[in-house]
Amino acid sequence: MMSRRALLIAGACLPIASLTSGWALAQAAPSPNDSILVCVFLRGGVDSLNLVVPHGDAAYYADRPGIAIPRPGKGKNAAIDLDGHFGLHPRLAPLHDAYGAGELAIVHAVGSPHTTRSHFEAQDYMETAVLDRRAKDGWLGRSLAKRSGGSKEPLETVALSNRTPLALRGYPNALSTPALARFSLRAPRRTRPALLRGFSRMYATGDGAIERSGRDALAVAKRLTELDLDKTDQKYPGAAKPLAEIATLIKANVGLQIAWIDAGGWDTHTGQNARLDRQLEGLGEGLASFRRDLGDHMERVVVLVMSEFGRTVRENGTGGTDHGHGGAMLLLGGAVKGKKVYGRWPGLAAEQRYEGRDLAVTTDFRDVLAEVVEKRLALAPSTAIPSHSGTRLGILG
Amino acid sequence: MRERGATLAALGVAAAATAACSKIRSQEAPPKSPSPAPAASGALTPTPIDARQARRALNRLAFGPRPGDVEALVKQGFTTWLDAQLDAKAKTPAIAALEPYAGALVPPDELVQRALGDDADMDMDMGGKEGQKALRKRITRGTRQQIQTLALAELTRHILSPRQTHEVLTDFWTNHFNVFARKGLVQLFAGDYIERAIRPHALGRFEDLLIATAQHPAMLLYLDNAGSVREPDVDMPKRGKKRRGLNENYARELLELHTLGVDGGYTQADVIDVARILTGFSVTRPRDGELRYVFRERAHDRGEKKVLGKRFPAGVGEAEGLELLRMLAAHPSTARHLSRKLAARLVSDTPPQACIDAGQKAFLATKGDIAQVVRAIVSCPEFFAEKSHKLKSPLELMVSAARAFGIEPDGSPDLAKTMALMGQPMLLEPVPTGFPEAEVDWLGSSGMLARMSFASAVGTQSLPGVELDLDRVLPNPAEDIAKRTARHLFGESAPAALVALLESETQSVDDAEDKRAVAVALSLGSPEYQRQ
Repeated sequence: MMSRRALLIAGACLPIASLTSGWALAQAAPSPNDSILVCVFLRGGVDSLNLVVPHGDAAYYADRPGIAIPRPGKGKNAAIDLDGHFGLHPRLAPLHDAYGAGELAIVHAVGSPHTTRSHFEAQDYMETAVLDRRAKDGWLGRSLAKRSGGSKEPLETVALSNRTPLALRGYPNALSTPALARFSLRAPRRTRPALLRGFSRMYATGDGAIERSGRDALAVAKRLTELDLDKTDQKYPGAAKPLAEIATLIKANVGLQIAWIDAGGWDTHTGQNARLDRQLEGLGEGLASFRRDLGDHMERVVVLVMSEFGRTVRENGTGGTDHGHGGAMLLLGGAVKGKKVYGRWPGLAAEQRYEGRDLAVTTDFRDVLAEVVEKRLALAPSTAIPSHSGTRLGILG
Repeated sequence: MRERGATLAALGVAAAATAACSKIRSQEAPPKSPSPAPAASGALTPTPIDARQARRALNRLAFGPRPGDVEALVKQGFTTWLDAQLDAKAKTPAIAALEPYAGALVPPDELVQRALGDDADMDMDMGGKEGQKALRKRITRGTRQQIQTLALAELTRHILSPRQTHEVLTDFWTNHFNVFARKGLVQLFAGDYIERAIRPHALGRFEDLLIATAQHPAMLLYLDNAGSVREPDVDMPKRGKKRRGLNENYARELLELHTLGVDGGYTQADVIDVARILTGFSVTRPRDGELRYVFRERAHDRGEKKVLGKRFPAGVGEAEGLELLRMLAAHPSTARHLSRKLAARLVSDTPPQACIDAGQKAFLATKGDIAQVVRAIVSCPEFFAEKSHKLKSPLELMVSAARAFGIEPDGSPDLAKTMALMGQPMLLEPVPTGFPEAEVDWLGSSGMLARMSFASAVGTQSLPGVELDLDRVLPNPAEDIAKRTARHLFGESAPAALVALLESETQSVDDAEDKRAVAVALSLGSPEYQRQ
């Protein structure tokens, strides 16, 4: 067959042939199967200032007397220094190795130019990558729709989410389910074999969209039962079960290209420290397990961790923080130019903040997404993120 | 047949939607309305209709047939049935199964009282920012269950109301004027919104419907108009350093989604002036002691505005908002936009232009009488055309299956979870466009698998949250169950291939009830049953 890569490159080059942007020919872009993207969306607005602690910024400590993470070296709950200015939350310690190995990068003071502090609006913007509430498709959906055409693997695009995330909308082939282990025909044991067989026969033929979709569904369910999703040598924390499932798909070479994981529980208005400890233990240990589990496969994988916004610099009256503006992103993987905190730090002094209260945004989140689209999906960024020509940070090799 | 009818009568349910309604208006309607487009005139309302057409009518203008409905409609004739269904003044009879969910439909004030318990008054007076915040939180928490209960109230009525076209249109308008129940205090108002803004006008005049939504807290909070104030905000109290001013969110959706349509011929300048006109359309705060729509004079922009070329002179308050809404409701673009959308719901994802034109014409001639627009659209020949396929939404699948098999919600909110699993969590669609209508938007593989799982749960009588007894609908499960089940759902037109498949799969299990379970599950999960 004509290789998908060749098609892709041909297709991708057309729209940019006349452009003079920094986007060069796609020869350096990896073929899709060598390039797996795993997006982890922390829903609720993670407190990026405690995730990646600006311990070199005095204002951080001044405004967070109760919840600041101590400077590196100040006790066992202190930040883990990265570069003399930033440090990791202590529960992210399992990721320190990856940082040292140059496989973990951080973008700080990144976020949306839109002013909203509403979760769902901010999430929508971040997922559509268009600052317009009426946008119906997401940045990944848009990209995937552009590059579809060849035969589609049923497990090419997988979202572990209660609903198809907006980011993937526009691409009907995306599979979304809260957990792969639950993606099966649910029926009592006595009648299950007859029902499975009956539905399989029923949907086996027919060119209608309904028949095709039913056929795909049953094929995926069948494929998943063969994979034995529960079996993994690596021990993941409970909260990181979705990462374990994605790792299984990657190791089994089922043709996965894009995975999306929704992770909730980050809206820490009260009692933040205890809650964030728990949450970040799951994230830190989860990602570290994922990296160990995948071993050499990590060369093909980039994990992008994002959230809709950061939180207020000042802690509130209930030991938490409220909805803010600028946040942080993490990128993990073999292709990441890590061991670096990207972005310009705007400072946390009152006059340096956004509207006097939040971390300002110095990097548009779309710059990062554009780079991911360009380097990992081998597409011109403008196909995924229209009306934004930003700058590249050079995070991905 | 007879036996089924008798069973239903014993359940206290009218055999068909028809019986409850009189024949009034059958001759006088449409009055002078131009419902038939010139090209289609004469070809409309095929009476008598056959069973296939009756099934089509019941799948589009109702949430699917119940046992006996198809035969009754054939006997009654389409026009008579339609007249009764489109009677906007008819009353929905009391539905006993609604009782456990009725609490979700009470006015917001009552919900707050319940959420706060005995010390409600004291709480309402709590001063200060922190106090107000705590109050909001308690209200939000105390009413969280509300959303699922409300979803069940809607499902129950969709399943059991004899005024089926009114139910279909209620769902249509609830989605057209979508609100996201989980945004802030919207959940507190969602029940009231459906009950008192949508339902009374679902078959009435569009203008009344539009104004009811425009003055409802659910919409004003969801699309941020409640906090939109005139610029510059010199006299407005400042909230910290937060700048308050004009919010265009509602104004834009009002033009683009609710009335004119995206190609309706308005500009960004129109959006801004619509937003200015609607400044002051707001909502009282919990501490005010009651929760309702309020017009805030101080927030209102009293300057001159211009929308779609029409001048709105300076110095007018709430009245200019109402004038604007009336103007939008009567606009030809609105007529076209709504007719197109209704035709997409009732006829096909890509409705023929003649159908849209007929609806638009009826809309303009009757000053937005929704019942007459529906009549004009379903009078176009394509309504009954075999090729006018439509995929059932998850809601339509669930409700049609419930009607076919006599399923009733059991008082618990479990069915709301099933709706979420099938991809249509009721009242929880965040975007103002509402749930999609077209087939392509619903055909994900997890959605399809969820449909098959739902069908399996019905067949095996293990669907949570419902009362379901297949013995009442398909007794004697051992006897010729494959053919009987297929006939039950598809009538005489049951596809032979499906019947053959049911025959062979029911033979693969021994137990009589299992045979019936397999036949019912496979029929409900078949591609044929996913179509309307």
